[in-house]
Amino acid sequence: MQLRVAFVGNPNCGKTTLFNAYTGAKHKVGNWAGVTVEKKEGTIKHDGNHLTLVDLPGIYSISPYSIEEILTREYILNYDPDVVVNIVDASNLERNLFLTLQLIELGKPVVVALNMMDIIESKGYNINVELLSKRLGVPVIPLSATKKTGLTKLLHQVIKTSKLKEAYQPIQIYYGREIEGHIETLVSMISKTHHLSEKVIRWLAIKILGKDAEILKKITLPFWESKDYSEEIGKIKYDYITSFVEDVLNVDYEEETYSDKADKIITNTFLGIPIFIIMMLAVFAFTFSVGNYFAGLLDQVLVAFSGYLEYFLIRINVAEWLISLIIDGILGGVGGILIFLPNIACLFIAISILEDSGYMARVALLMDKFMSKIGLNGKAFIPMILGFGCSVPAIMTARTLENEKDRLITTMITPFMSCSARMPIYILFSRIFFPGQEILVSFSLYILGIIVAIIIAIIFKQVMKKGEKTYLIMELPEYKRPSIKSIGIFVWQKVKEYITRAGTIIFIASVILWFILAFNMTGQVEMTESFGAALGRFIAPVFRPLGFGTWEAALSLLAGVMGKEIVVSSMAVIFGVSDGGFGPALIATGFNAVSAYAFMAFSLLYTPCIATIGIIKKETNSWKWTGFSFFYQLFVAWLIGMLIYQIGSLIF
Amino acid sequence: MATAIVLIVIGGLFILALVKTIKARKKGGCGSCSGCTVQKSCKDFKNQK
Repeated sequence: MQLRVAFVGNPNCGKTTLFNAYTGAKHKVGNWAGVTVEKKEGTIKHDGNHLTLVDLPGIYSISPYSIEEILTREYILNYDPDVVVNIVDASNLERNLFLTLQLIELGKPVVVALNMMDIIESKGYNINVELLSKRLGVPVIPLSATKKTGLTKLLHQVIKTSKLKEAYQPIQIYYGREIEGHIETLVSMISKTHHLSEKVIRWLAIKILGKDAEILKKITLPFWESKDYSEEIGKIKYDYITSFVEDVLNVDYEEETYSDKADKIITNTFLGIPIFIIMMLAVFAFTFSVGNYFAGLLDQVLVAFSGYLEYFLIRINVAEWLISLIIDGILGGVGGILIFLPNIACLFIAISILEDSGYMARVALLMDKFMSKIGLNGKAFIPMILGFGCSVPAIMTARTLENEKDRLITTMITPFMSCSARMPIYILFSRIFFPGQEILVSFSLYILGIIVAIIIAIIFKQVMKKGEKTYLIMELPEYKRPSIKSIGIFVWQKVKEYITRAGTIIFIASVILWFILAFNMTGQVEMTESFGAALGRFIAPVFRPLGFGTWEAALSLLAGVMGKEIVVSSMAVIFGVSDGGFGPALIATGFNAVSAYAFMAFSLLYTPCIATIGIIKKETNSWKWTGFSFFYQLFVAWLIGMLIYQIGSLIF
Repeated sequence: MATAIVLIVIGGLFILALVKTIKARKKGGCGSCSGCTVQKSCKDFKNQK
């Protein structure tokens, strides 16, 4: 039998962990809300049945407030899964059951997977599963996705429920005489024009009474008018949940958990930000100390490999220009990026430890307090934190924001967050111009990115006259010891991404750059006479007020639009040097500490890479906003780089 | 002869890298996303938008 099973639940209730446990997939699991923003599919076999599991984004309700909520609802309605598995966080029963009731009301066969039972038991609670199942009218299976207990039982139940699909009769909540009267009228009106099942029609009627905009667009009832009952309907649902939660949830003993104790300090208004700063400094200390050691070893290997390859190519009589293309162009460019791989791996190990332990969710909460004070949506800080990794998925998570203007502002400011591709630039320049202070310099650039993003967001907010205020609702996950498996998956994915980029976009850029630096219209020439040098000289005057008005710097920055690491790989091709040779080459072109810092700040803030521009276009669906993002970031970067250089030159 | 062979190898690798990059761009990812937080593989889901 072929079955389609949808996994639905609140954010951070463990859907992806459960999905991975069944499918053996290695999708990123985050110990905070909003990690899954699109659906994922996996197929498994159980008792001779083929089950397609669909992991849907986490939602709090199926009201059309955010894109994920609409998408999940549409999926359940249009794709008609055989069974909906509602994953419920047992440690947050009351809130999670609101979605459960909505799913039951939709009329689809629901099986409740009561996850995180291990946490519940460690807290000294126990849940009367039978009673819960009776009150909800659906099967409830207790399990722990992390400990992999109860998983087979859930699959058995899913198959059993699918066989009874047609006979499934969901419980009906009684909404009181007035609302039930309206439901009855609406049901008879809708059933005359729409051939749908009885359960779906009742659900539609309830949604119409709640003034659900998406439903009202689809169902037109010319002679129908009523007030908005959404608040009453929501309250009745909550009352129904509260009426039995106390009976279901028994407390054997209650003690303050480690998470509660830790949160008193970590999310404290005064201590929270200093702790965040210390954590970030520790991240950079790890990135530089351990990373640099391995980077040095890797550099030696690459230099030796380059020497052997050159010798081999000369021995087999390959043309001189082709040897130059391979050694100076390809190996110089790709190798110039690969040597930073240990630093990048260390950065992601540190970030994933913070994320998996549950700390990053606290950072979002801390920033919410701060951002609310200046009138911004705290939820916007989640994509911003993800932007430390890569702007592309970060911008996509901006979809979780309900308000369209908030989404747009977040999309516009997320590229200011320092993604990992900028890291090689910081490592290279800070090692040469700020020896011994690399950690502080890199940290200051991350902070600069956050500050600029917040200032720009405030300006946007003033100009756009932002609409209604929305609030950050997120569950704070329990602190837990980071799982080596989760960290391993996350870091391996990032390392793979980095190597893939080196082998694709950086390889392409290095070849193109070598050609434009080796030729002009007359043929092969000296680099200073090349087409690339001429192009660099044409742009260079723009950067004079920033202290790096040389063709080499200008050309690297231009190439960096393809991907920010390419700024470094371009320099490796231009100067024909590897890690150790950069210092003298950069100083010879006129760089000093102040202009180096201005260069790093400019690299951080200027026009995002092509992939980010692409995703901005896709998410905003507007060339106007995409073009605006391109040029305004260029201007902001130039302005800040200029201020740093001009003021810095006066002081130092 | 050696030059021609090496040139073909490098040219082949370049075309391969180019095709892989263009394909990734068409999918809308960052060009390397095999397992980032956002999965981009489902056409049906995109069509729903």
